[in-house]
Amino acid sequence: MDNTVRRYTVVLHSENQIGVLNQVANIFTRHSLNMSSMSANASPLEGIHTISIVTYTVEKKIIEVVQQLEKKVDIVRAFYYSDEQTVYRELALYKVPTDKIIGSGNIEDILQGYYAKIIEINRDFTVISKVGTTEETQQLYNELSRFGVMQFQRSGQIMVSREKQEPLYKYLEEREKVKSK
Amino acid sequence: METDQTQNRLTGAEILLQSLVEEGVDTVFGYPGGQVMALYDKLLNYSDKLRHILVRHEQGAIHAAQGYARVKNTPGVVFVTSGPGATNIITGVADAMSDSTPVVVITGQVPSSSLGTDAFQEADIIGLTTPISKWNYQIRRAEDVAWAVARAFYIAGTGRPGPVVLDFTKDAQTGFAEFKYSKCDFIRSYVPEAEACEAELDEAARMIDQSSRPFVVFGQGILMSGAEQALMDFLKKGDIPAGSTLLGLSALPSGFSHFEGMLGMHGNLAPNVKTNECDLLIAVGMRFDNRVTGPVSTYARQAKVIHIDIDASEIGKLVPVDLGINADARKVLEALTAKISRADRHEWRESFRQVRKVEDERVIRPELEPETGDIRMGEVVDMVSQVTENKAIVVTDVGQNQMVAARYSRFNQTRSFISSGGLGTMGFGLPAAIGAKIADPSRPVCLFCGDGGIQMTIEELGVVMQENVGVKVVILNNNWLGNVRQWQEMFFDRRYSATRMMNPDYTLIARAYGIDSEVVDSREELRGAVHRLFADERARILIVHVAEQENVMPMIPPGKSVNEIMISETQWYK
Repeated sequence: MDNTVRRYTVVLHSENQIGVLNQVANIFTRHSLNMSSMSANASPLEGIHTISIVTYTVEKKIIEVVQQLEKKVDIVRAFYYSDEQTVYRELALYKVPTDKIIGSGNIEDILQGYYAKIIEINRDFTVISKVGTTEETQQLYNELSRFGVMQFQRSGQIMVSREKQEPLYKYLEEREKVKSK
Repeated sequence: METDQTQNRLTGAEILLQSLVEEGVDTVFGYPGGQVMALYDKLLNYSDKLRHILVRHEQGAIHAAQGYARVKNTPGVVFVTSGPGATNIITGVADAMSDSTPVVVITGQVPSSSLGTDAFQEADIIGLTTPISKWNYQIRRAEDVAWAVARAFYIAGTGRPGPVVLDFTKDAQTGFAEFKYSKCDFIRSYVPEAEACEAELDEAARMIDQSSRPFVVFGQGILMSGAEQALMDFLKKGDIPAGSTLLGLSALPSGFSHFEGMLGMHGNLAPNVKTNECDLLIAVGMRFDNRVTGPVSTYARQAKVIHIDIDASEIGKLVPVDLGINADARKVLEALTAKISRADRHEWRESFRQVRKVEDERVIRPELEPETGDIRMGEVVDMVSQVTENKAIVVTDVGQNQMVAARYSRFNQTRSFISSGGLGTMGFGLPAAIGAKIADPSRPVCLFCGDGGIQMTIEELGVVMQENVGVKVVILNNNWLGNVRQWQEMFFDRRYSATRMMNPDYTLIARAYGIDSEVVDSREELRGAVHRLFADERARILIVHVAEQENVMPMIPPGKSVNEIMISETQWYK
């Protein structure tokens, strides 16, 4: 195991209980790890939430974190991935002054170049959305800065793995079989 | 029983008590207060089923529950009120987490409508205990009480045991719900115990058979999984020597042929030295605490390592393993005993004897049989073992008293050594001893403590008085915070900062509580005094004035390897 600090994504599935995020955050805190991105959402399975967290650390530490997460009673399963193992995206929203972008004349080209689109427009402002990596959403932000970005926010990153992996519902089915034994 | 007549329902408080009865609980350690009034009110109706031990400080309640749990191997139960009552149990929760002790703590909480408003005696006990408990849950509705209690007991007692905190709001205590209890034996997100696979067991057996110098290091996992006999069978068949962690003590009888003593900073010479000479280290139910390993970069690097533990997150956490088996200790040891070949490794075992001889001559004999000078702590511990014929449950506080009690107590029965290992909580001893005695009144319980630790929870003598708990308390009084003083002497240039302690007259304190006591100043008085200590079933305190500046030896100084051991303040082993 090498000591290179890499970007890792931790993905965990938990019961939808109050305080689970606190449990997760505690484990990151204990290992002095910063969460550079976090996303927590309902999964398609009833009562199960999925949390993705991006952090920079060495592999030994990320393994410890994942094992200690999985040990938590309310957490069903936890995994970690390096960037090569995942397809990941985030969503960014940009609020820009409508008059400025209309005046620019080339907004269509910019949006096309970045695979971004306008999702709302009114007299005062226009909302542009873009899906991509942090670097890509940042590039568009830089591009739009000259119009004066009134508001900007990016979501936490979400991902799917490139590897064949047992779907969570199958794992839960196996668990239910243990119960009926 | 107060019921909602129209629908035949019970209050949440009563459901909680009924649920405890369903779980087989017979004893609760606690302290009442504003937000558990409803619970304590209903408790009066359960005096025939639930014995409530009124402690003098909430910390005493949780340490007593820990002592109780360690003797009984079932969860200890604690009731405290909200706010300060709840924050006072924090140390014990962390201690129980560190030492895998099953306890279920019920804390009162302000009504759910007041949560988050900084109400009187409100503290976020869920937030406070999340990093130090195995599980916690806030019960906000009477309907959830039975469910939460069932889960709490299942989680606390299964897999790697640990503390569970149930935060019980006032309205959930007074609200009504139907009572129907079913024990919990499944939680989909929680796998308490994995099964070892055949291939892993075969590989382990192959590694053991090929090894000429295998060495077993075991911990409390042996006691928790009931693997004592399985371990003995395994060691005998493989002819393999074994060393114990602090918390693994008493899993094997002290005189057992293959038992080589205690590991770690103040452990025995042979098991420490041999850790760095074996060719295969088999760790069972232990977690490679740094007080056992020293720097892991120099720990057993020459050996292949097999780590057997019920907690997957411990395997490979500190010591790199060649083979990890994530399963129950007893099951793995039984399977391995069937698979390994019967072996003769007497030469390897004989090599332990030679190291032990050095320790006997240089450390143990001078400690246990000094002819002159002040009383040594080891003599006192040894005398207790002699007088009780190794039958006592030995409880310790933390510090020199703990290390000496661990080194020189002898056991012939399992679950006989109770100590705060991972957290090292001073003040643990007296309440834990009370809990141990209540758990098993048939056995003598002897607490060894220092003059520092006893004063941290000395108020619990009130419990000894009120509940007539026949604990035997031995205060090894040296008028110092001995362990810190030892470090100051050895590593801080004898700069004794804040370690000299002026002590009260313990006999007067004992008398105030109506407890008999005796002071021993000289070696000649010791045997008679220890005999009197165990002469009857009543509580008694023995204050022994021991050498003021004794150091516990041997010692692996901090930062040194397990084979770099000081056998005196100036001499190293070898």
